[in-house]
Amino acid sequence: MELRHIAFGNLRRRKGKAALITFGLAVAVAAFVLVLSLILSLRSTVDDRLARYGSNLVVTPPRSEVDLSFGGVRVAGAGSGQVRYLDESDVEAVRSLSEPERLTAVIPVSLRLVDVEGRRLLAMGTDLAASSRVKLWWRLEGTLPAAPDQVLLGLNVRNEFGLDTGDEILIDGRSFTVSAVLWETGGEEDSLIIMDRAVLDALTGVAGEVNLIEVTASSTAAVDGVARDLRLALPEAEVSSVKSSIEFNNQADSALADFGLAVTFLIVLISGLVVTITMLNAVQERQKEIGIFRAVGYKQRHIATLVLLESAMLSSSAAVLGVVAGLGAASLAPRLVQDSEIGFTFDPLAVVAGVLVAFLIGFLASIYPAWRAARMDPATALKYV
Amino acid sequence: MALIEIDRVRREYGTADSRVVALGEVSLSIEAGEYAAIMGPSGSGKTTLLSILGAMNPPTSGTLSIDGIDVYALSQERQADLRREYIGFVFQQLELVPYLSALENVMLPLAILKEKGKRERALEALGRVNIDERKARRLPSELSGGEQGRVAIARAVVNDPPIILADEPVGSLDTSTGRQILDQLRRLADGGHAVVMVTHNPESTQDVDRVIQILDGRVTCDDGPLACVVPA
Repeated sequence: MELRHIAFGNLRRRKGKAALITFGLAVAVAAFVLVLSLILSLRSTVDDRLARYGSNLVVTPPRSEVDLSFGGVRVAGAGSGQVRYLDESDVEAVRSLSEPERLTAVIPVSLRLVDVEGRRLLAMGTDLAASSRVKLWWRLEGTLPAAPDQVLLGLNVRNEFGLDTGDEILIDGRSFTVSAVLWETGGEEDSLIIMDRAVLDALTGVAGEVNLIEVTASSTAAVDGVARDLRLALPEAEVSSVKSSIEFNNQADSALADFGLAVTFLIVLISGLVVTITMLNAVQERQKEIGIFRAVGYKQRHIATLVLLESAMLSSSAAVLGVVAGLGAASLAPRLVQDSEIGFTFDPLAVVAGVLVAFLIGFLASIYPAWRAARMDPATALKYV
Repeated sequence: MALIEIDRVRREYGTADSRVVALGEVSLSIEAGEYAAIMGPSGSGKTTLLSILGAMNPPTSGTLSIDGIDVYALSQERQADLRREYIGFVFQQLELVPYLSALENVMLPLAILKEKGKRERALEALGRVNIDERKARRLPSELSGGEQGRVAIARAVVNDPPIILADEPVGSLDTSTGRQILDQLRRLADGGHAVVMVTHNPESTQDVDRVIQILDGRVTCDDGPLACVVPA
């Protein structure tokens, strides 16, 4: 027989107190797991939203002068008006960032003015396949250009020239086929002619000049780190992030998570107090029993070990109950909040953290009762004094 | 040198303003194989003396030596070791742990030891008091009064201590069952253990070698049972 048998036997005998302590711990664990699961789900939702914006970082050439522009329209430069470019070495520098797994896509973009039936329009040269992967709002009528003589038209261009898929279009005197039309995006892409970047470079006779590099980080958490590394790799370029706007939109959800954490902390505190008081009461009831243990040679550390073993056994039960209840509540919670975009994402971290919290609360709550039990004078406990 | 030696032990309780003298300057020796009864009315100090003998209650002054060791000069940890090695207790109302089987109750002093063969030692101790393995698996509530008493004695001797201290071991038992317990204590003394029993019942002292009568914290008689005991 070992001390753990004595501890287990005592819990079996005092089922009511054991159940009360287990319940108290399980409630705290469930609250913690619920809030943590919601926070992890929130983070996952933010990442999803981030993905809908496509690229979450944009690298552009440095401004050589004060720009005279308003509402995104460059009116004039204060000096020579020269446009600066990035080049292939800059693109390679972005692709060569450390921890490449942080990057989902690196898309260099060239912008050129081209002539279409006497009209000056803006053509965009890009990596069409990569762009269609990250720009989830791209809806095409037709198929993505696959050949050097195929282009994708923005909706405004299509409407202005009355073109449809399969029609010919002359660009800078060269004939191209419209392979697809982009559904209305509500943005600048509606007014673009979009083609492969190498094709645009060949058409305009300008190679190696990149107007901007669209970078997609793999997660919200990676954006800041990637932005920092981009600024280090390209000190003269400008790096912008679209993360902040998403975070602003999620402030309400973040505030809810903070409130949840505060409430959870209170619940954990109260639970710990309940456990401590219940265990102190149990120790007092076992005064004579502890006196017997001391009389037959148990030392103070043996008595303390008995109390802590009982706490560990109860924490195990509470961990299982609390984690299951917490995950269950987390899976149901989004359905209770109207218009919430937060879904439930199972994360093993919530399970591990819940188990650790159960043992931590159990241990901390039983330190004082264990100390009181260990310090019991055997003669007093046996009522010999 | 006697196995147990108490030299001018005094025990007081309370504050400086109101002191109570539970035991006043008691000196005595007990040899191995001696069966002694400490008798006295309630509040006479006999339980206090027993607790001092049991290395659980440090005296206000005086010394207790067991096998030449000054017990209360030891640390609390070493006193616990000494209790385990030298002293077996039979408590008032037996005090078997209700959620442990008879076998587990006997193994209680062994649970803190990192040794093999604990179960066999406990079964052997139970065998000496005629408790078989089948009964050993039962809870105390499933045993008769006499069987519970024998389990309590087995628990006291499982470590083979040289000293057995019994606090009113038959107080709550019927006459027949009590007789069984007293016979077991006699046998232990005959086997070489020093047995010290606290009792207030003169009838329990029939088999003892020596009666130590205590009144108001002082030894008033220390002789054979016929000399010290006033028949009830």
